[in-house]
Amino acid sequence: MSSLETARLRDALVAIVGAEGVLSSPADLSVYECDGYTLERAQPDIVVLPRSTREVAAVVRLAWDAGVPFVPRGAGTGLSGGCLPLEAKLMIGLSRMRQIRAIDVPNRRLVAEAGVVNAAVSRAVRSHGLQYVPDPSSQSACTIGGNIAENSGGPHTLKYGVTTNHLLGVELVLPDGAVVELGDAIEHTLGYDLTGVVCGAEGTVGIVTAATLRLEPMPAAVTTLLSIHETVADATAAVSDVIAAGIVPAALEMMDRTIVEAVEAAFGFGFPTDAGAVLIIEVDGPAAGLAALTAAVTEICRNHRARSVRVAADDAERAALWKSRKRAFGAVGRLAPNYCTQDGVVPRTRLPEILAEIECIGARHRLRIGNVFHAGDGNIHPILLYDERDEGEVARVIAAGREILAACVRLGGSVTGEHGIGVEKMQELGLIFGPDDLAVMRQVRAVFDPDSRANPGKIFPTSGGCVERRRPARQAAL
Amino acid sequence: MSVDLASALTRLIGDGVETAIAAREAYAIGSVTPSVVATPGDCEALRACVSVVGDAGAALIPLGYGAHRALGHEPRRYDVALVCAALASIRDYTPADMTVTVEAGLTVAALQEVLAREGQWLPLDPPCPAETTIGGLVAADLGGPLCGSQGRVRDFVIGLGAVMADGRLIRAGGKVVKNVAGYDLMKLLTGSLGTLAVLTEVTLKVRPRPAVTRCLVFELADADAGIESASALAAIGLDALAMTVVAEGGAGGRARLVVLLAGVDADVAAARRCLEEHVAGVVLDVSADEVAAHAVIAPIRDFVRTTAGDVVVQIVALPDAAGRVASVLAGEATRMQFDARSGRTVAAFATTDPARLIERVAARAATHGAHVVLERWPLVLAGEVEVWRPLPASLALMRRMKTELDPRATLAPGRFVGGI
Repeated sequence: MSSLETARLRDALVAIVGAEGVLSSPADLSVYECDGYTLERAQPDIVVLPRSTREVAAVVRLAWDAGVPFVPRGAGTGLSGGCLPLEAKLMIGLSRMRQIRAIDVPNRRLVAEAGVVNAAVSRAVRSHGLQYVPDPSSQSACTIGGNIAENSGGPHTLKYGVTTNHLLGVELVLPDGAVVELGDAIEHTLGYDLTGVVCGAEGTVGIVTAATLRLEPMPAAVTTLLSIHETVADATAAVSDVIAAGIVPAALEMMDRTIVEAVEAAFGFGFPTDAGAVLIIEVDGPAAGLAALTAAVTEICRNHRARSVRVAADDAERAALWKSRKRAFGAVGRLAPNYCTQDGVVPRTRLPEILAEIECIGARHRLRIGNVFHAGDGNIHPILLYDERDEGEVARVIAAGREILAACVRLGGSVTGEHGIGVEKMQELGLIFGPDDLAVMRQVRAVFDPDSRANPGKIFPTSGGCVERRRPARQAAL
Repeated sequence: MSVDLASALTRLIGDGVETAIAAREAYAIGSVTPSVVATPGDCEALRACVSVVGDAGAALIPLGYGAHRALGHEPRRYDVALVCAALASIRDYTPADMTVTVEAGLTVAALQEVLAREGQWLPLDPPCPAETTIGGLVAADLGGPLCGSQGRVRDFVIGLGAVMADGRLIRAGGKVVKNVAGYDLMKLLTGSLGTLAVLTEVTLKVRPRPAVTRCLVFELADADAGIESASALAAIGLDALAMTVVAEGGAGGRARLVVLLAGVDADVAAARRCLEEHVAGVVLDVSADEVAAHAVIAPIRDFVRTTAGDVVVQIVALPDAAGRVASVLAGEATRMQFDARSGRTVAAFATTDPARLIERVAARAATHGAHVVLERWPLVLAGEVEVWRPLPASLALMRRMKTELDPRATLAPGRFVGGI
């Protein structure tokens, strides 16, 4: 946008949301130059923070009339640059839409606005013995709107599914400013499941302003185990055997030595820093059968040379254990100035192969790589440590990340399990989908957004010119 | 046109094309009979068939064994019954990955057999699984008594292959349980009733089979007693695989509560104690094993397709309204089945005035904000009734989706919600 266009748009936006809801000074905008994926940065020209669906619709309508594309943003905790303002310089932040509109305890439903923080949903219903299951590691900051855009997961999705499995309906502002209701509170789909299409579309079909979520009762009983192994291979074999035994734990997480070291330094939970890998295994269900289940899991871990298998003594210890796991990413900051979290998936049985492959890739690129991941899902999160002042190292991080994803695809997996394509993996999407597959997805996008106004330049690989076009944006990080 | 179309298809798939009246009538939908039945032998042949039909400006309806073809509006046009049942292989199954990739024409029963050998299952139970293909299960979004505890089709489909209306063969999703690469076309095609694409391959999440499965049947005073018991059990969170109230003979008729329990021994025993404590009824039957347990539930599962009745409806409501809906329906229905947890009621009616009955049922459902699916209605009403109610608020967007993906209206035109 030219500065004149920007000024005109700013005035019109102020008329809709008030002066305090429009940011355009360089200092204010710098906060919005990236999300949790920091390898690329770009500043928006304007950030607008509407407070209601009506305001979002008015803002979007204004942008439509002005021919200005927009990018929606939640809390900016995304990990693939999904809300990076590359082609769209108007950013619409949903963080002021924080109302929980309705809580329906008998029917286990909750209607939350897009800016409601994930953890706030469970907090709002805990006294009723209910919870909202999807629990991404960033749950204390990330928003429901962002969770829907990315179809977020979390440790407890192994047994209970990801965001889309707990989403019944959305209120969506289309790129022309029209507001549509997709789905409703009832456990049945009338017509095409457009709610299911919007979930995971990374903000490319419009802006979700509110969502109807399904709540679940808290499990009757829960046991959380910590199993310490000498090697990643032993821990991985234990994971396979738990699954093979017909046990579906609520969560099945692994941290390798690099991560354990960082986590222990940060939180002092009491992890042995000389162990090759630790497993966090949570089983839940009716109280009657839980002891047998816990015993079975313990025996499997022991069969794979677990140094010790410890059951969390109480809720406090269980909470401490999960805090260590969920804040592992942050703790890694102690090991290196910068880190890049990758997100790939392989079939569960190929975990040993991909872990070996990651080790080779790390060695080849002279990078230190830690692994903390959802082992039960085959969803890996290698964390590549680097120093952004070292340009050569940054290039090696990018190259190694790509090689890891290519290896996931070779093993029958996917290039993203829960972080999304964003700007980071547009080229990688071409590793799993052909031109016709992508063409149909583009057609689906066009039904909602014929002019590509909503979050343009994301998800879909461009033909050839992408890297060159994105180079200036990348410079900021380099 | 149909003669040309039949010869064009014959050039593609030879004796996979049938035009004899008996063959065609076997795939009639309502009063509409296709001119050609085409049964391609593999995915490429199927793709070519779709392409040829589309280019001819004709319309096709994808089918498996046709077990569920009563669902949906009569087609606006219906030249070719495209039978997918020959695509019935298992493409990939690694039990430890707990995923399976199958061709769309494999039956649900055949898949369950293969999974059972590895101690696994797909916890979905559509009516008539021996005649229900995986493609049909997904396209018609079918469910049964298990859906109250196990979820719906949309929760299990993680990847697919499909032929678009213009003959493009596409893939979406993948073979891993967690995957957010690209748009979720699995959700778009689940329940789309063949109006957007023809499914060729589906990848599903599977689960370990419960160690123990038992079935308990309680005889209750009447439908209301059953509805009340089931709602109370749902509210306290009884851990049951399935829990259905079956009421027959209208008001004052008999009622049963049929419960499937599953898990490890201790869980099943605990759930059973909970049941016997809370349900004031005579225990009629306690199945001895898993096979016997599923045999008890099978007629309940199949009811929506196998029952006699002039009108059969399915109503889905929020849990706190579902019991009231079921209670009203039980008074008039020849048989009514109610699932408190999924909020689903299926009811069959004998009536001399089906149009009025349908309106009455729909109006009652509407007062509770419920969804209505007309599962069966007399032929004379074709074109006059809406099968799905209420019409979704986003119907205009859905029409645009249909036009974008199938501009020539090749795929099952008119069959879907609002005549899409």
